[in-house]
Formats: sequence, structure tokens, C-alpha cells
Amino acid sequence: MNRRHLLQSTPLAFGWLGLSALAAQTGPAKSAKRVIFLCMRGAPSHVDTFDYKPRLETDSGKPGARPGTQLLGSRWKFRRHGQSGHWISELFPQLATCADDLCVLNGMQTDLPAHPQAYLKMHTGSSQFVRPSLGAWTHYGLGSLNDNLPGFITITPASGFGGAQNYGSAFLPAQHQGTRIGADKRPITGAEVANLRPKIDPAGQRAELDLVQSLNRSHLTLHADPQVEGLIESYELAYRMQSEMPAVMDLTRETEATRQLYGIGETVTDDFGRKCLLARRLVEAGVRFVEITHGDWDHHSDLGEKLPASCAGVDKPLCGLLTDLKARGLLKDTLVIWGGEFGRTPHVEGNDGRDHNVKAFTLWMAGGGVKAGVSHGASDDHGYEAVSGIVTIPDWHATILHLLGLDHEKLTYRHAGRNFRLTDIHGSVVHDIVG
Amino acid sequence: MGVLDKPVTAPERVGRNTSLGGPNSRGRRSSGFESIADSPFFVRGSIDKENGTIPRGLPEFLSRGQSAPMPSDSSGRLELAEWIASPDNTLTARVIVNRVWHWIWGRGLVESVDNFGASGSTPSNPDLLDHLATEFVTHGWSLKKLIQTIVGSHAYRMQREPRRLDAETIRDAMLAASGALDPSPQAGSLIAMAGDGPIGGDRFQVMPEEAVATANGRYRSLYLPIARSVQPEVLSVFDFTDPNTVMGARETTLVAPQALYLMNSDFVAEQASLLARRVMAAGEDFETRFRHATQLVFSRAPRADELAAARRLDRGDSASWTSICRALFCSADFLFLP
Repeated sequence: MNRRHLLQSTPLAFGWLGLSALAAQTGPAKSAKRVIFLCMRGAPSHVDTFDYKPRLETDSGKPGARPGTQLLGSRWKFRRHGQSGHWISELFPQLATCADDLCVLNGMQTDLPAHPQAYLKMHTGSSQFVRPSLGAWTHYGLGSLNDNLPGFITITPASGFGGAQNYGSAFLPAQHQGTRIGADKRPITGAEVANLRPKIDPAGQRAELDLVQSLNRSHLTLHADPQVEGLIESYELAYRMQSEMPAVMDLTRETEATRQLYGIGETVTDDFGRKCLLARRLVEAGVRFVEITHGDWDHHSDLGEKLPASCAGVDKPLCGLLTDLKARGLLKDTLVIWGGEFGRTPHVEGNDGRDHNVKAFTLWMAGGGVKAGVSHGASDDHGYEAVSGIVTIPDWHATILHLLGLDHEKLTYRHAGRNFRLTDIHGSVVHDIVG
Repeated sequence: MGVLDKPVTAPERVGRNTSLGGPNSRGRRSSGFESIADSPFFVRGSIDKENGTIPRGLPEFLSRGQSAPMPSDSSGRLELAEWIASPDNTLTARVIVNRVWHWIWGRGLVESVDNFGASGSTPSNPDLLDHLATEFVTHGWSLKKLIQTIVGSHAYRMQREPRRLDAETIRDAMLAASGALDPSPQAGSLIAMAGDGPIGGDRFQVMPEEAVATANGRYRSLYLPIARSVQPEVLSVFDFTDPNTVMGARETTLVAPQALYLMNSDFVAEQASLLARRVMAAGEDFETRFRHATQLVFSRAPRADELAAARRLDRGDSASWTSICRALFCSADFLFLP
């Protein structure tokens, strides 16, 4: 292990020194300091939520763009909201009150219409190869804001769809990988970070740790090895983390009013509300990147029942999160992202479902320096294919990094003989949505 | 090397596609490898963009265009294996020799262990690399012999850069010190026992990801199950390589999750407790016990300052000895190769 290697791999977090210099250069916006990514696993229908298509209603029952298909109009009413006039369907009544905070991307596109591939593409930029995740790149580029906490946390991540690769660090050093809290499809209540709970009482553990550190210092007097200094520091950091983390995760420290704002205590919204409040507490405490997974949005059938249920589960917490972040002055430099791995077809599948659609879907972002109250891009009259303001996954990644003050062409890591980027050889920053 | 076998035909591929999450994927599917044929050429690796087929053979850039045509009645895997392990193919021998050198010294003769191409680094001692590669082939590709040659060398006895043990060694060494290690191979891995089907995921799963993540037991780390999407925590926490990648040189990090694992995990607690029982049985007084403990964990007698520091924790009971033993597992003397 040479000196540079050591600086990159110890908990002293020097690894990003060179990169923070890169970030300080003029260019990238640098308006976001942290990210909350609300990942809707399974792919929500855009034409029933944020992409209003009046022609789809009038053409319902007629043939769709794909041969042999039949269009299905949305059964939910759309209305304009706020000063921005964003079209939002009645499935998001609470979020609609936050319409003016949203930057809605209606021209999203991705490559492959299968969940694992699209999900990995969204999270790592590649559906074919193992690459570092968006959160890992962010943490590699910007480092930690609080050394006593993990810099990248993922809450109840998907177990399928590429699993741990979606928050992995691939060839980036391991400290950039996401720390998991909770498991897919399980309630967040009671979930913990692995190995955070000591096996013995605090005094006993401190005494044990003092012995560890005496042994290590004894080692150091015989072999002056900077790695052992790193090891000593890692135990102190772990010790601080295990005392700080449970306090950050303790939602009972919030007022009843705040808990209600997130829908905690209401059957439908309790779980996602807790995840959102936890995310706010984590970013407030200095975690750089928090991802929350919510599923399942893969509505191939029973759209009429399942979509309203999914929306109801997240609607109030989403509004609560934006409202709370704003009230605490955190929204201006916290980038909030909502979306799934692709969209759904305007034509019907079975009697009452929608199939996968990679040609058009909607994502929205808020805070962190994105233009509030604007929409960007559009799909065709039926919402089948994006026709203007097309944003590909690499474009979207480039824009997120740009908002964080990172140039996606310069944020590289040398591996196997060449420099790698999140955006590979693709990606253009969508300057139209940068405030 | 499935691509060198029978490729998936178009209708089957559609079936596979939908099986990735589509609604019509229930029921038995073809494996797609029933007969032998050339693979379609997938434009830029995209499964939905076919353009002609590629005859089975060796990559031109590796075989310098010398590739013999593949037999029509077999897949070509045998020919591929014979070519890879041919004494004339010096690349294979040099790559593995360099990896072994890297694993022993922490740095390869060619530092870019996964890249012997134009963009890789040049060997620091090409003659030595060639010599070891030639010897390796002469001795019947014996890794054991190669390792003996290197560790028996004069150079090996000189000062080396200290470095942390790798994931497998940390775990195996703990099991060995605690007396729990079962050196015999496990009779079929967890994955083999589960049978065909995905690990994790929504549908058709034969095993949840947690089953792999929490796999442990007392057999050697070599026999732990490795799945593409998930690895046992005991390995992944110490920089185990993502099995999807080609990675001859692992990262070595020293980060808080490792410290938390050593301090608080069930596995380390169990090994510390077993070791405590073992050293307590070795004698009645503190010094006899601690000497036995450092012999088992460090393979040496304790230093005076170590004795003094550990003595402060000793209350003569198994709880305090478990603490002392866990501290030994947490120490640089255990975790680092000098």
C-alpha cells in the first residue's frame, strides 16, 4: 500500500482532497450539497400521474402506436396546480400542494424495458457491466459531511433488480459503498445498521477497545506503519458511529406535529413516512446521499386498485418531506429526486394494466438548485414516446453531478488501465433545469 | 463461456426477456443451451440488436489470427481450454504467476495485474516474470510449487511492506485460533443445495439473498457460497471482490464497518468466546492463559506491555476472557501481515 493508496482508503477521508479541488473550479453549479433519492421500484405510470395526456382520454380504445395495442385513457382527473401550473392527477392531492417546488422531467428515456437492466442503468449508468453506483460516485466525489456517520445510506433497497450492485462501489474503494438500513418489502420500524449494537455494556466495551488500542500502539512503536494509524482511527470512528447513529435514527425525538406532517401513525403512510423522516434526519446529520426504495409500482394488472394504493402510500410523506426540508432551510441545498426505472405504456395490458415503457417517462426533482416550478421535455400526444427535451439516464446523471458541483467528464477513477466515469462516454447536462 | 455454446434463439430470447420481470414469465423456460451453434452478433452487446452470427473461435487479438476452426459437433470449450492452458500460450502462465506474486508481496511484477495489454504497466523485472512462468509450466502448473519457490526465496526473507490480511484469511485464522475450523470441504455449497433458480428477487427465487449474506459456518472461507448479486457479509466487509468483475488486485481499506464487524458481530463474538474457553482451559493464572492466547492468535509470546494492558481486563471469568480474546482479533498484530 503506497501513500496515495492509503490516503484513498483510510477513514481519514483524504481520498477526495484532489476532487474537492476539482469541484471548486468554475463550471458545475455546486448548488446541492446532498441528495435524497426516492426510488419507486417497479416503474410508476407517468400518464396517470404527472404527464397529462388529454388526447389519450379522447382516444381511449383506439389503436396504440405499438401494433396490435389499444390505448387506455387515464381514469384519474388531472388539474393544474400552484403558480407553476403543473398538471398533477388526483392521485397526488397532497404533493400537488407542493407543485411549485417541483421540476418535472417529462421527456425521460432509458434503454431496456426489463426491470433489472433499467434499474441498474438508473443506479450505476450501466445495465451490462458492474459499475459504481450514483451514491458511491457522489460520495467519492464529495466525501463525507460527518465522519461519524456513513456517507451513503440506502433504506430498504431492492433485493432483486441487481441487488447490492445498486448501492455498490464496484471498483471504487469500499468506503464509498452504501450502508444498508432495513430490507426490501419489510417495514422500516426496528431496522438497524449491521453490527451497530455492542454485545457488551458500554463501560466493558470501552475497556476492551482501550486494550485494542494499547495493542495497536504497541505494534506501532515497533513498526511505524501508517496503515495501523488508520486502523486505530477506524475503531474510534466506529465507536463514535455506534453512539451517534441510533440517536439519528430515533424518530421519537421529533415532535408529534412533524411526525404527522409525514403521515406517521396513519396506516397507509406510516412506513414511507418513517423512511422520509429518517432520510431528513440523516441528511441533516451530515449523510451525503440517502436513497429510499418504495415498491411495488409494477402495475401490469389491476391498475385501478394498485396504482392508487401505491400513490396513497407516498403522497403525504413526499409533501411532508418537501415542506419540512423547506422549513428547515435544507431544501435549497438538498436535491430531492423522485422516480422509477422507466414508465408505462399508454396502451392497455390485459384488462386493466400497463406494460413497461422506456421511450417516455416522468421523473421529478426538487431543491438543490434545480429550477422550481418548471417542467422540461414532453412526450407525444399519448405519452408513448418522448418528443422534446429528451433526457437520457446519462444526461440525468450528468445533471445531478453538475448540481453537486461535479463535472461528470472529470469525475473519473482509474481502473483496469483506463479512466471510468458514471456517464461512460455519454451525457449532457440539462442546463435548462439548473437554477 | 455460454456464448461459445449454443446461443439463445430469437423466440427463446423473448421468453428470457420477459422472464426478467414481465407478466408472462411463469412456467418452465428453455435454458437456451440445448444445441450447438454459432452465436448471433449482438450490436454493441445489446440483446435486441442482432446482426448476423460470429463463428466460434478464439478472439483474434489474442490468437494473432491463428485460431483453428472449431469442430461443428462440439461447442469448442475443450479447444478453448486447451488453448488457454497450452505451454505455448505464455500469457496465461505469466498472468497467474504475476497474480501469485501480487498476492504474496502486495504488488505484482506487473502492477496492473488485470491488464497485460498496451495500457497496462510494464514488468519491473521481465526476466524474473519469464523465469517464474517457465518454471511454473515445467512443474506442471503447480501453484503450490510456485508459492514454495517464492516464499523460499532470499528476497522473501527480506523486509516486505506490511499489509492487512484478506477477507478469507481473517475469517479462517479466527476459526483456527478458536479451534472451530473444520478443514474438510462442505458437502455441496448452499447454492448447489438450493438448486436451479434465481437468488433473491420477486419471482422463482430458490433462496433469499439473506441466506447467502449471512452464510458462515465453520468450514473454510473457500467453501462459502458466492452469488453474483450478494456475498457473505463476513467476506464483503473486508473488501472481497465483486464476483462480477475481473479483479486480481483487491482494494484494502480500513474503514469503520470493518471495525464494527470486529467489535460487534455475532461471528467474532462466537470465535472470541470459543477462544476464551480454550485459553482458560490452558491454565489457572493470567499469564499462562494470555501466553497461550497470543501463541494461538499471533504465533508468538506476548510482549511485556501487552501483558500489562490485558491484565487490566482480567476478572478470571469467561466474559472478561472473551473481551481479551476479541481484542486480540481486533489488533493490528492479528490483522496485518508484517
